[in-house]
Amino acid sequence: MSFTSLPFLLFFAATLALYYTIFRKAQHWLLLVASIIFYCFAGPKYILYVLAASFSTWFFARSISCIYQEQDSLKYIKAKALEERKIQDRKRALRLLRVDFLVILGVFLVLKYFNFLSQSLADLVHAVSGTASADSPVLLHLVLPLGLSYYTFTNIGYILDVFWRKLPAEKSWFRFLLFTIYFPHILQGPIDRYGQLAPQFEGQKRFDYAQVTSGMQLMLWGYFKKMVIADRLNLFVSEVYDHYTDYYGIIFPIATILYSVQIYADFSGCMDIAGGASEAFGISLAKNFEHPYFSRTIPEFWRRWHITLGSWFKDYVFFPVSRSELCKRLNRFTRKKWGNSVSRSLTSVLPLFVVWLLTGIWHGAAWKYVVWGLFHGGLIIGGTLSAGTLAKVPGLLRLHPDRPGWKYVQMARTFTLCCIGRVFFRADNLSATLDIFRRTLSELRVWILFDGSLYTCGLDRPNFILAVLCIILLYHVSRLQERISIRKEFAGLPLPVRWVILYTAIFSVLIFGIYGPGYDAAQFIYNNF
Amino acid sequence: MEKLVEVLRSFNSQITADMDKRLVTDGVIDSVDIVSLIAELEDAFQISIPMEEVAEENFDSVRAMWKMIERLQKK
Repeated sequence: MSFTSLPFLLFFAATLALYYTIFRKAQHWLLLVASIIFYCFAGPKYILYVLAASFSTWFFARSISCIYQEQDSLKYIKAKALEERKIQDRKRALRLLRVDFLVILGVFLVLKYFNFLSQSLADLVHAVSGTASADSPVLLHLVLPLGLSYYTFTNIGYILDVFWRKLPAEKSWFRFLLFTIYFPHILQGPIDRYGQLAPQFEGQKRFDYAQVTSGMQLMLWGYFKKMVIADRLNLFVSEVYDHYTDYYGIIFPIATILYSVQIYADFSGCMDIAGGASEAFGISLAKNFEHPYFSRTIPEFWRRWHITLGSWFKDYVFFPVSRSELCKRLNRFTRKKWGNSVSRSLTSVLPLFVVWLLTGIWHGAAWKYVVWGLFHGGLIIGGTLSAGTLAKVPGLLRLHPDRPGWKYVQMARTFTLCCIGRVFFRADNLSATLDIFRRTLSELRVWILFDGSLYTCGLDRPNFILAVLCIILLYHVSRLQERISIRKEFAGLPLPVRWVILYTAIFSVLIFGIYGPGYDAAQFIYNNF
Repeated sequence: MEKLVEVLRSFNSQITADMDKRLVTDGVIDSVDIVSLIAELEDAFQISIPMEEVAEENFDSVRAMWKMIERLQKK
């Protein structure tokens, strides 16, 4: 059940109505049942994966928590004995953690990466031996359960927090299951943290007209971004990228810039729909976007794009790898040898490399994602290593870092680098990416901007102009969102003005949205990850 | 406390004695700095900072860091 389908809107309306009326005293049970029904629409058999992952994580986290509780209840014990006990308990907890990892990560890795590894291995054997293998690689014919990457990561984050004693374990599996399967975030995130989301399921929520309508306004903006902007741009981008052998020159930079806008409108639109729907139930999801294309540097971009994924990798990969024995030794050695500044740069290389390798692979089981991840990792590591030199650039150019002009130059540079990365991300594979770069540079073909052929690539002239106008609107709304809370300001407008704006927005989606019979609505891009 | 401010200032000159100035939130230090800072603090205060304490909120201000150090010294 896609967020953009009519069944979803009916499902959402029915759940909301029941939530504030008949099920007022059992709201979290209603959300749990509704979330299970929602997930079953994706395929009833896949619910078993979610249930199994959730139960395993809940059970082992609970077991770890029991070990710690037992340890805390020890009162009359000598300090040395307590230390030994702590070491033993830590080992027991670690064993339980590993078993859970084996279950949930095992399923995740097999389902998502087995075929990729098997195919890559076969290709490697073929390349080394120089002959085609008689046997084709072993491939599993399994369909990925929707939201696998998201719920696996939420589960891992939860059990690690319990293991590190940052969180007490949840006693009720049903409450934990609701956290995992909560329908606004199960398919595309955000990757919520248990400590922030789960407490919001407690208690009875009263119907708050302002909150419910505010949530729906956010959903409406999300639908506009997804159906009017992203799906319209998708027509152009798909035509160019899916038939790249038909094109040369400037069409690729145009398609790539439009793809960068498309993926932002698509994913942030989905987050607005999810966040708005959840807000209507009185539950706030974690923020996933903060106008990333206004970033001045790549690290800043990653603090503002898919925030919950970046934050997850920071807490559960970057910090643990940085605190590993290997990195600690490296840190001590480099500090003694070259001082703090050099040590800071050198010791961050390994954890950053691991994070960006995994970030790439997380997006998909293909080498293009690995290269895309390492491209961004390379930029960040390069930036960290050369931080001192880069800081001197504005001074050498006699520019004040806070001057608007310099700020826009930095934003344009960051956006350009992101666009280069997007070519890897969008092209079918690495050889297609290289071919696209070659085709872009070999002939510019600037005349397509003037002879009308630009309007034969999936979008005719009116639709192309409409897309550009929508992008300008998106830019200005984003600028405004940086300064004010639009929905709060909107609530303060006179009623007739509000209704005019709302009707305009609703009819814009209905009239200009890309949907309907004969058109296969584009799936949300991040659904695939 | 003075020792902490001294360690922090030698680590990053932008860090002042203001106890509540937001360091991570305002972008004075980032996660890469936190990792280096952990090593500095462990050496300076003879403590071991376990994973459960490695969270941005424990490094977001001089006060938060001092509270964490006190907590670990008591253990």
